[in-house]
Amino acid sequence: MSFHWVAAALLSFGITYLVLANQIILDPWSALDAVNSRTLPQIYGLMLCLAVLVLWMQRRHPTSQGDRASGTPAAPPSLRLRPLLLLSTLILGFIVALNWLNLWVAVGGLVLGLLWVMQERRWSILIGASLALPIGGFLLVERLLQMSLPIS
Amino acid sequence: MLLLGLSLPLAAERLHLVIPAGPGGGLDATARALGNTLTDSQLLQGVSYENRTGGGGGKAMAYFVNSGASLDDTLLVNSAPLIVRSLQGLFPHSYRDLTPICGLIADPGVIAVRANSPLSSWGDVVAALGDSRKRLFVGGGSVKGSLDHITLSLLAQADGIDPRKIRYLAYDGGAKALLALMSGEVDVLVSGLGETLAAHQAGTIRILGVTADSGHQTAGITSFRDQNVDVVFYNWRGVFAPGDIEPTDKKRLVELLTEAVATPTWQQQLDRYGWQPKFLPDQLFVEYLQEQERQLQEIMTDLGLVRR
Amino acid sequence: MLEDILTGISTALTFSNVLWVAFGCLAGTLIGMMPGLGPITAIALMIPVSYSLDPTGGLIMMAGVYYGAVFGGSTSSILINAPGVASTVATSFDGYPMARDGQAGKALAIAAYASFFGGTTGALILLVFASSLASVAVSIQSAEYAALVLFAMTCVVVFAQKSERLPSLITLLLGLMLGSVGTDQLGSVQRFTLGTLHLSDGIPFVLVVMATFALAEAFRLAMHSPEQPSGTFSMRDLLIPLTLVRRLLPVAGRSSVLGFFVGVLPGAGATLASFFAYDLEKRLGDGSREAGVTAPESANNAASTGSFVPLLSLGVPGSGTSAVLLGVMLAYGLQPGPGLVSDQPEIFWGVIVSMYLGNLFLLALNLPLIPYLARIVSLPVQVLIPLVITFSLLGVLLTTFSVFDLGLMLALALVATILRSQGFPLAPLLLGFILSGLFEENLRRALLLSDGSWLYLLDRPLALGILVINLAICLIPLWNRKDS
Repeated sequence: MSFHWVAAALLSFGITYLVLANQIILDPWSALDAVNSRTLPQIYGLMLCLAVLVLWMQRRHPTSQGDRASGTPAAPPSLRLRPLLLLSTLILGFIVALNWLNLWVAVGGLVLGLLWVMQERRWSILIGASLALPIGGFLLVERLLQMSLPIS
Repeated sequence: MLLLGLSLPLAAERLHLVIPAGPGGGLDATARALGNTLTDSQLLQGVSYENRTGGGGGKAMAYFVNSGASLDDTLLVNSAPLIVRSLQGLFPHSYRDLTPICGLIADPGVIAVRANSPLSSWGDVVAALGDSRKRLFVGGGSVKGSLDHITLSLLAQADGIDPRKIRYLAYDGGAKALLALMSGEVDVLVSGLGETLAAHQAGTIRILGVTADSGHQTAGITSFRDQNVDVVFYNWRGVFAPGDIEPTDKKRLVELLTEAVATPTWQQQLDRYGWQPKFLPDQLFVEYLQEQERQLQEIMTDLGLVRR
Repeated sequence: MLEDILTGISTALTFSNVLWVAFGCLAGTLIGMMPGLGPITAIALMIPVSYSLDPTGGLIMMAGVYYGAVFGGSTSSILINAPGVASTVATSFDGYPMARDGQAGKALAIAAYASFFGGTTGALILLVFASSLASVAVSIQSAEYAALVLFAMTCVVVFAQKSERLPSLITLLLGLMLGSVGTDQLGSVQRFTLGTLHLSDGIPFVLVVMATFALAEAFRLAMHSPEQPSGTFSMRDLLIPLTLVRRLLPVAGRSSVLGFFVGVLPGAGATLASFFAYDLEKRLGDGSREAGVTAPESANNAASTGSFVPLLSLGVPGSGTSAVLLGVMLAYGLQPGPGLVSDQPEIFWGVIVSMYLGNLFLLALNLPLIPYLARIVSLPVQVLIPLVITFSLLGVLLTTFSVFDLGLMLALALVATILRSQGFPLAPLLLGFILSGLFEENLRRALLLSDGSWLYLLDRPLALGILVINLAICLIPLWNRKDS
């Protein structure tokens, strides 16, 4: 992803934040205060927008500063997006599955999936880890520490 | 201990307590003290706890209301902020969506000053609050519009002072507010008796009055009612069952808790934490809640806090 | 007083008490190593056990649990970049890179020694000054806190590398913004909750730290297929060369004293202390990674000890953990406060002596474990990444039980990964998030108290002093520009 997209995203986040900050409903007292519930968020939002703009300008004209080399690390050549997508999809699947499955069953599935995505193909490790983690977790958390896990 | 943890207790003899706050707070301590009482006095085999935080207690409420039917032998521990927050509209439910089982303890509010303060009575504080040249600051352990602030507002209003004109500073917890009083940042502290009694007895602060019923006597502190300020207000802590509980189950739970509070173990727990017992079973609890809701509705409307 | 101390030693050194402190240390370390479970949870979980002990034994055990949990947190922040508590975040800055370079054993050993040093130094200062330090705790008001927090935030931006200053400022602001979500600290105002209950208590710390540190790091490892850290993991890691010891000892000394005094301040004592100590050593010290692990570790342990000052001498807890400990003390019928030292000296001094013991046991128990723990990083990445992801997800689930939070965590982790690939440092984000509430709360109180008048600062010379230093630091970038 190029820097321009990131800068644009940050800027639009800053603007959205500012808009939301201006919509905060104040309580009857602090509306009168000089510094109320809105003030600091407004300052943060403004500062963010300014800082992003300045950084954007700087990186557009990198020569004038002379610190381009350390400022923008060129995107590493070996950056692989595939594993990132696969991992996030798996985590998302885990999150959705929690609505129906028991936590520890879901954890077992998650571990198995993650290992598979990361190109682990040894059966001993695949089975071992996806059994040991949930069982160990269950014994430690629910039996030994007596925590109950109301996932919702 | 290891073995105990691993063995499965019998299902029917268990109770599950849901705590709408993190470990370490007052509600958590209440739940665990109750649980200890139930198991130590052999009334139950085991008690489990669940700290369900989030939404200012709203998440625990939503969970209780939504999955009520499937919750067997599960109780929600709660306190007065429940009513404040549902009046504020912070969450859509109120205590009416639950089945009140009983009130257990109640902590009255206090007004305190530093031991060497020139303010020697509540009258002095009222005079200073009414004098706009004196920039008197009152500190409390919860945000504006919540319990400490409301206690202060009730007292001020009873003495004819506009509660909106008071300079109230909110701190993150009663302990920090207490330190702010000691450091001289605020001149007056509004807090609960439980959190301030120790400092009062140690002589670092002086409690000027307590919002308990008349005749209250702890460490020589007189109630506001006995000082002719007609304000009685407690932060209660009690337990609730899901809204659609069977009448027989409800009866059984009320009986269980009635038995529990009569045990010496419960008395020990009260003494340990310095809690004021206020056992209100079943219908008495409902009436108490109704009365408090009326009282809160009135003051919160005056303060502009009730959202319609 | 010497007599009292001897009483304390003899109380703490009974056979059963020694056994309990060892048990407490072990349990605390194990719980603290689990991501998301910090000292507060560890102590709360151990309360039922403590009920069965006498007051001294119970408190001594709890001190062990406390120190153990703090150390356990450092272990996970060094090994898998997953600090479970705010006070060990700074440890991961240099500790985790060391571990990735095959120096996990060394980093853990340094952390253990530094914690020991910080803890014992803290206990020593506590021993000498306990009664007189109480006044320090109550002389700090909102204005000073606000100035201190502002100072910590200025340091992280100004002391960054020149080309990273602006990105640091941006991530710091993002952190402050994340921290502003939820119910306002001063009025009961909902901010940026988008109308959902899930956000009305704010975003939990564990979520942000696991997303931006642990999960984002696992994603980075998966995307870069990095080299396997090599290196041997043996007992030899535990032996720190004498030259290194000589270099690190002054670092540990400075950081411990600094940490203790920051820790005395009620509030975010240990966290602020570890950030300050880290910044101080990185900018003014030799800047080595070893020093970068030593400083925050000595400081946060000394600060944990320091946070007992307001509890023991005033009866007012200065941190979340000491609030839980106060509950334990009250449950024993003990009233911490000025009276404790005179009325029940054996308990007061017993607790202080037990802090030494706690630290000693922590060292003795954990050192032999280090070579085994260090092997975690030598796991092949295709196994390590799934483990880190699972642990960080569980860490959040175990504290919030919320599926919504997991989704938020995934989104944050993806944002963090993108930001990081564009050269934005993430540590300022975490710092901003941690300090956001503390900053706003104290700043607004100070402004209410002062009625917006600058003259108020003349009454608060300490706050004024910090602000002046702050301003001076802001001028450093301009100065440097002139030089080049």
